[in-house]
Amino acid sequence: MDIVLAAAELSKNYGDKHALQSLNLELRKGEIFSLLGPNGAGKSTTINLFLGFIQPTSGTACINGTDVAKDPVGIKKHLAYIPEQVMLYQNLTGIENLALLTALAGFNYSKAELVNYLERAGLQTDAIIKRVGAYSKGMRQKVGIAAAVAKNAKILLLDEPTSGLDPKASNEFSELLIQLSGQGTAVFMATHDIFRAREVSSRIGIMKNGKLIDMLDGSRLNAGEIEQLYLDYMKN
Amino acid sequence: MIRTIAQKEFTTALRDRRFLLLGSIILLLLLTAALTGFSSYQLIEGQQKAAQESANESFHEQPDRHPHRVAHYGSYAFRPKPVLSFLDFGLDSFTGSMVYMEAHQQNSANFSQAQQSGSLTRFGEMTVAFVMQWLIPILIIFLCFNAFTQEKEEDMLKVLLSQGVSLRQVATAKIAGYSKVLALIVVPSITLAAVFLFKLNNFSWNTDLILRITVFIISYILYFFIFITGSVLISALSKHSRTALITLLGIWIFTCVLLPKAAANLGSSLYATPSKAEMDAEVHHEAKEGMNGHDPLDKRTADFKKALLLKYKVDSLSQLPVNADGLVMAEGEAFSSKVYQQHFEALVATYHKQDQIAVWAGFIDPYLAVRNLSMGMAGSDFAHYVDFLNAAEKYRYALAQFLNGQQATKMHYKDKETRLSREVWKKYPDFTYEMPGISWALNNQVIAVTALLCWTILIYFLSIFLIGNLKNV
Amino acid sequence: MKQIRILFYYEWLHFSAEKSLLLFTLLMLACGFYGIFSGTAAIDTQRQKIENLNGLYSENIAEMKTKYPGRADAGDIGYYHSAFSKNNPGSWAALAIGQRDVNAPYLKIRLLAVQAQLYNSENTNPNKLAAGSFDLSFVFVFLLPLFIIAISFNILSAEKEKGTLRLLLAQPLPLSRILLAKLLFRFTLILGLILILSLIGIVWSHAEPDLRVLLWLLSVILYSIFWLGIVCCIAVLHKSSSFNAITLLGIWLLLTIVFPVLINVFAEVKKPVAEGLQLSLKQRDEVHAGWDRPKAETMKRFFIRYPQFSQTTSVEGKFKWKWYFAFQELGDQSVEQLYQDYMRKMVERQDFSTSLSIGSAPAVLQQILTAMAGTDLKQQLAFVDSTKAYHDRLKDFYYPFLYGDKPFTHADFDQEPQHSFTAKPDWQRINSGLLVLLISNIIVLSAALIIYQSAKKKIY
Repeated sequence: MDIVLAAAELSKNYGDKHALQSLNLELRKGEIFSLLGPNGAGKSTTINLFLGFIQPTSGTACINGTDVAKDPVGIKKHLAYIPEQVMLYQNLTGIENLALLTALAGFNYSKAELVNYLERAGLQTDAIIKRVGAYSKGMRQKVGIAAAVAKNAKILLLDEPTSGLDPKASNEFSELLIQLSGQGTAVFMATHDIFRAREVSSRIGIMKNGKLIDMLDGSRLNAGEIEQLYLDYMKN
Repeated sequence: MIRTIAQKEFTTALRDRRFLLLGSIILLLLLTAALTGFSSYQLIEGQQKAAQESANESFHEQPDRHPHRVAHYGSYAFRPKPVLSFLDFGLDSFTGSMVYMEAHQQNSANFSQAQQSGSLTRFGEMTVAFVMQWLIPILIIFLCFNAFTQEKEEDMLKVLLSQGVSLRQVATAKIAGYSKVLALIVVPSITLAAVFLFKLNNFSWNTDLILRITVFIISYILYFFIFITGSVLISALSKHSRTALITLLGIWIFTCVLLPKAAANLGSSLYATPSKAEMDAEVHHEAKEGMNGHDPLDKRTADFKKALLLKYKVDSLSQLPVNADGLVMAEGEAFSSKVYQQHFEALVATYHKQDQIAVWAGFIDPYLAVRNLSMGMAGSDFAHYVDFLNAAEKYRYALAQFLNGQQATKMHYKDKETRLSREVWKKYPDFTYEMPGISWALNNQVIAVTALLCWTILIYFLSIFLIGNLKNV
Repeated sequence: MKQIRILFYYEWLHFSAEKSLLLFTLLMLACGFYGIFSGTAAIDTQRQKIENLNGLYSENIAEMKTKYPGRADAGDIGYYHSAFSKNNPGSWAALAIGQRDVNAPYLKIRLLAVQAQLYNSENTNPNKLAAGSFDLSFVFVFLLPLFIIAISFNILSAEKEKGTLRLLLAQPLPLSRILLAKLLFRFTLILGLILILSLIGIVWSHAEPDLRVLLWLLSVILYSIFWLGIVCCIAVLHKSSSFNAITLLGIWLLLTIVFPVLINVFAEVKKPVAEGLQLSLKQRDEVHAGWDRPKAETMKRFFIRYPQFSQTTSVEGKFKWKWYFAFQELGDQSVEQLYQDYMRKMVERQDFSTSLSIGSAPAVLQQILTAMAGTDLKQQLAFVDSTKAYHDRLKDFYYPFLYGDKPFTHADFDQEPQHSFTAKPDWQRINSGLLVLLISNIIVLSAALIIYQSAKKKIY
């Protein structure tokens, strides 16, 4: 049972508009997949479908072998999600936020364990007990990663994770992802950032007007080639 | 520049469907209020007038009677409803509308609307004043809460400022723009109210009425201006629209709901009102025993009779050329009225002290200032009510003394049987009441006027100053 | 269940970190305490005034005894002596003053025609009446909904606006559970507030601890659920916090002010009560006509009602009190029908507005609470009726002296009937009010469910 995320003929229409058309995709354990595409291509729709936030018009989205539409709550045990503007409860500290997220997923960690998870995600020890209101986006993402690790998620969904990060934070983030995939977590990330996508992903999908139009092998092409391909696709 | 921005606010508000909805609801309520106020004015005024006429008629149509009988038969004073009170009922529903005027006794004003209704009346009354005092501020808040926050949230303020406008100009323009929007809602209702007024007053305008309605309208214009400017200020000082909105709604609850009620309740728990029974007992006691307890009625009467005998140089009362009964009674009436008047004035002074908290609170709460001023102009405040009671008491006293005089001059001593001709009461003038003029009414509301003016000036300059020096755009 | 517990705990963390919420709660508590204090003070003042009547009554009797040192004509006593009918506040009155401040808490009664004495007013400051009482019922009826709105108008929209909702929903729990936990937390807070204020109010005002404790709590709790339901209806539309705040305040205004006010206007127009004035004028004319009517005719009419006194000595010649009181009696009789109509019409007016007010939960709660405290118009009318009955008892006491030509002695003062009326709760109104509240709750909660289901998708 290696396939942790699968889409079969997954489609979503809003009235006449085809937000997503017949997506077929499978992600294995530990695989990092990037979805490239312009605004409005259907990347967020795809993520929302896997999260069960919206219902597919046809086809299925499966997480860990379970149809998302049939058990939208249950599948979230295996899934972690970090939105583009990852927002935590500003009045709570980093550790309290993590405690909330893991407790809701059914884990009962001690304080020491929570601190450990946060530190492993790269958060400074003194920041852990500060209120999240003072955190940068990178720091908040680290809490999100810690939550994914702590809840032992099989799949991590990321929406534009590197937008708004400075190069250093972005670099740290890439390393964290690679580390995570080494532990067997699959990563699905929607992004504009071709360079980062190429750096971490094994496969890169290109999406346009709700259709997955190409699937590239990250290890075979360099970033420049991918960019050229991408721009060619967008032209016509 | 200012005009352009003001025009932009005007257009934006008119394109906001939610504002249009809220605005039309309030316009509708305002028109309903004018209409119900008008019809209820006509209803009550009609009832009062008919009752006064029938009471007058009963008085004039009395058969031949002993004058003291007539004094006890007495008459009724019904309070005519002031014309402008259809816009603001003020205290009218809580004050009695009818006073029974008889000899020896000052009766309470009875049959107020509130006494004849269930507790539902306590929720408020549907008047133009209610809509203008309570609901229009809500509309203003809704209109203005995001005046600055939205510009900040959309990062438009910097764009505006980069066009060479100053913050102060933006603020002035916004206040002007919102005022124009509000005028769209208020002006039609005021026009309608004026038409009603025209009709009510049989198309005759006197200066007093014109002045009263002018001050009435100006006070509301200032009130709305205070709310508009205040809302724009809060919006400028807030980071987010929702913070501004919540702050403003909190202020509204405090100024319109909490403070007025708390002030009135605090006033009446600080200064105790004597009960009517206690007051009556004291009046009775003092009338009997003398005001200092030194000069009892028996002695006073004896002295008075002695003085009479001395004056007319006779030996017994029956030899007097006048009827001593009538004179003694007139003397007693004069004394007890004096005692009553003292107590009544003390009671009014107590009420006045109780009300002072709410009056001075006008400097904290513009609602209270405009409420008091509005009632004062409409003729439905406490001072107008007391003025009516005093007029009724004056009439009562004059009537009683007239009848005592009749008894003194036209009847014989100890005569309880002779009846005077009905012609005597037929000719006695009716009770009429004329409301005092606007200068008197304004004089009672000096503090409210000052408070409203202070508010207007202070909030304007404060806003211009604070917004002009805003750091965080 | 475990997740709800976790969320509940975190709501508490948010709540204690959010200063404005804490401020609202403290403000609400402060208003509640002031309401309890001010209501109790107002009713204590009334009690004191009623208590003081005893002194006035004894002073009056002492005065009578000095004035008539020996045996007196009962007519003199009937004319100059006054007794009081007392409308004692029920033990719950301080919690819901209702119409008690508007109406007289006692009436001064002489043996003269009673219809000229029943409608007298007490000294009250009209400004205070217009502002209304600041009692616990005001805090619950008016301010509690505002508090509920203040702490929950952004129950979901805040999470959405701060971006935390998606994070929460990416956890294995459905939206309904999040909403439920948040509502439960707020409900607990509200419940705590209601319990604290009600119990302190009951203890402080010495309200009799009977079935009403339960009914009071039940009605206020139902009312708070009603408002939570309204908040839910708006919150699950998933609009912005600003939209929610203004809409909820609009609903509050509509239900607590505009709607009751319109009902009241409608009731006044539909059910006019003009009998009070008519009755006063007619009664005066009838009484004074007595002076001009042949004495025999007056007595003959009087004996129809009181045949037992028909053997009394003649009233012809010099002024006799028994003739005077006979035509006083006839004056009352002449307006008996008007009096009945007057009372009936006021009850009808109140019933009419009650039946209209089922659409406004605040008006319904107000009616339940005043019915419980016995402070509504109906109890006032019952007091007026009992005063009239007391006047009958006074007549039964004095008439045998008057018409039996029996002298009235000092010892007889001790036998004079006394009056005391204590307002009673109106159970029927309480029950029907509770039923209306219950139905309103069902309607609002089902509406919330329907809106929740149909607008569910708009959240993302």
